[in-house]
Amino acid sequence: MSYQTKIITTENVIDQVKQLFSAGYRFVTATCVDERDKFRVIYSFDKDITLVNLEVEAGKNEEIPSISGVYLCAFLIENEMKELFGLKVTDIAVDLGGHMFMTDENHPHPMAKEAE
Amino acid sequence: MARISAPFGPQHPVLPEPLQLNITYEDEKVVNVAPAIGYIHRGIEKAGELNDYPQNVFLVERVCGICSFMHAMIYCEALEEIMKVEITPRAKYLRVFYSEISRAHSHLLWLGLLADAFGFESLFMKYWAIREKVVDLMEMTGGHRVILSACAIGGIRRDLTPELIRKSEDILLEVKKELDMITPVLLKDYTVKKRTVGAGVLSREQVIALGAVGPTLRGSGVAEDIRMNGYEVYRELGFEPVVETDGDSHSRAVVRVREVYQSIELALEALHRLPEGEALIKVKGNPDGETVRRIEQPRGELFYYVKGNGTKNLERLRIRTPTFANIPALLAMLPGCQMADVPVITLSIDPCISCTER
Repeated sequence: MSYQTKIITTENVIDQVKQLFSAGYRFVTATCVDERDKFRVIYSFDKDITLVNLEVEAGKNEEIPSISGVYLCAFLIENEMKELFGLKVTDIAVDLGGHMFMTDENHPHPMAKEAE
Repeated sequence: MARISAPFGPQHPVLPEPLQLNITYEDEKVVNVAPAIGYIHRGIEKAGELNDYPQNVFLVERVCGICSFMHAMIYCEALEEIMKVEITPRAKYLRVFYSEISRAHSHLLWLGLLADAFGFESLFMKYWAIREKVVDLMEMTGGHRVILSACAIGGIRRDLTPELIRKSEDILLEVKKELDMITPVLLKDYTVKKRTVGAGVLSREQVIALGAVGPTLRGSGVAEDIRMNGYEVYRELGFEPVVETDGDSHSRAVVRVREVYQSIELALEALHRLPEGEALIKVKGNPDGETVRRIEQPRGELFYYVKGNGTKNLERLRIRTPTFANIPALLAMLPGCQMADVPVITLSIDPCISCTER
C-alpha cells in the first residue's frame, strides 16, 4: 500500500497540520514508536483514499505540541500516547489527566521502553 | 433553566459493552458530553510486542468478537508486505469472501440492535433470524460462528470445496431473499423514521473535520471506503462505495442496509470467480521493516502500523479501530438532542468498545 511520508520537526508540527486541515484532509491517527533514545510520532491523514504521513522525532524529555487545536478529534490518541508512552504532549484540548486507560495504581507508561 | 449531569453507561441496555458518556442536560436537552473509556483496555498492542509474530494472528483476532477475520487479514497483509510475500489469487478471493460475510453478519447484528433500541422487537428478531443464517454460513466455511484462525500469513487456512461453494451460494441467495422482505420496513416505516430521521445530524464538513470513518462518514455524503483502493481483489470486482447524504441516524442505517446487499453480491462474485490453485503458501524468515495498512471493516477504516526488527518479535504493533475514530463524531452528534434520543444516536455509530480500547 503506497503512502507518502514527510519528515517534520516539533517546531513546525502545527503549521504542517494546519496546511493539511485547510486542504480538506481527514485525520486518521497518530502512531507513537518508542526508539528507546527518542520517540517517533507519525501523524496520518487521508484525502480521497490517499494516505499522507507527517513524521516527527522528539527526545524523551522534549515537549511536542498538541494538534487537537486544529483537529479536535486528535485529543483521544494524544491522551493515549501521553498515558501509555509518556510522550510529553502539551495543551491537549481535552486532557484526561492520565486516566484514559490507567488508574493511579497502574505502572506509569507501560508501553515505554528502557534506553539500551 | 436547571442543569443536571447524569452518566449514560457504562452499563446500559443499549450498550453491549461498557462505555460511559457523562452528559449535561438542560431539562431533557443534551448540552454537553464527555467520554470516559478504559473499562476493558487489555494491552493488546503491548502483547503484540511480546509474542512471536505468527502468534499475533491469533492475538489480533481477539481485538474484536465480530470483525476477527478482518483483524487477522490486515495483520497478515502487513507482514506479507514487509516480508515481500505474494499470496495466491485464490487466497485473495477467499479473503474477500470471508471479509464480506463478516460485514453482512456485523451489519445484520447492528440492524437488529437498532430496532431493539427503539423497541421494535419483531424487527429485531427478524434481523437476527437472518443473521443466524450468515452465522451458520460462517461456521460451515470458517469452522466457527466467529471466523477464527482462517487467515494466515501467506494466505488462507480454510479453503472451500466445490460443495461448500455451492452451499454458500444457496445460503447467500436465501439471505438476500429474506432481506428483501424486511428492508422496506427499515426504509419506510413510520416508527423507524420517527426515531432516526433528523437524529444526530452531522454535515459532510463536520465528519471530515472530526475524522469519522465508515457508515458514519458515508452517511454524511463522503464517498470514502478503503475498498476503493482495490486491496486484495476489490478492484477486479469493480467495487463502488455506498453513500447517503442526510447525515442522520437513518442515513447511517440505510448505508448499512445497502452494504449488506453489496456484501452478498461481492461474496457471490468472489465465489463465482474463485481461481484454482493453492490457498496458502509457506512463509519463512522474520520481518524486518515497517509498513502501514488500511482496510474497510463494517464500522469503517481499520489502520495497522507494524514494525519488525529482524527477530521473531515485533518492535511495534499499532491498531487504530473504527470506533476509536468515530467517538469524536458521536460527541458532536449528541448536543442539542433529547435525552430519549441518546441511546439511538449512540448506537448509530455502531460502537465497538473492545476494539476501541484494545
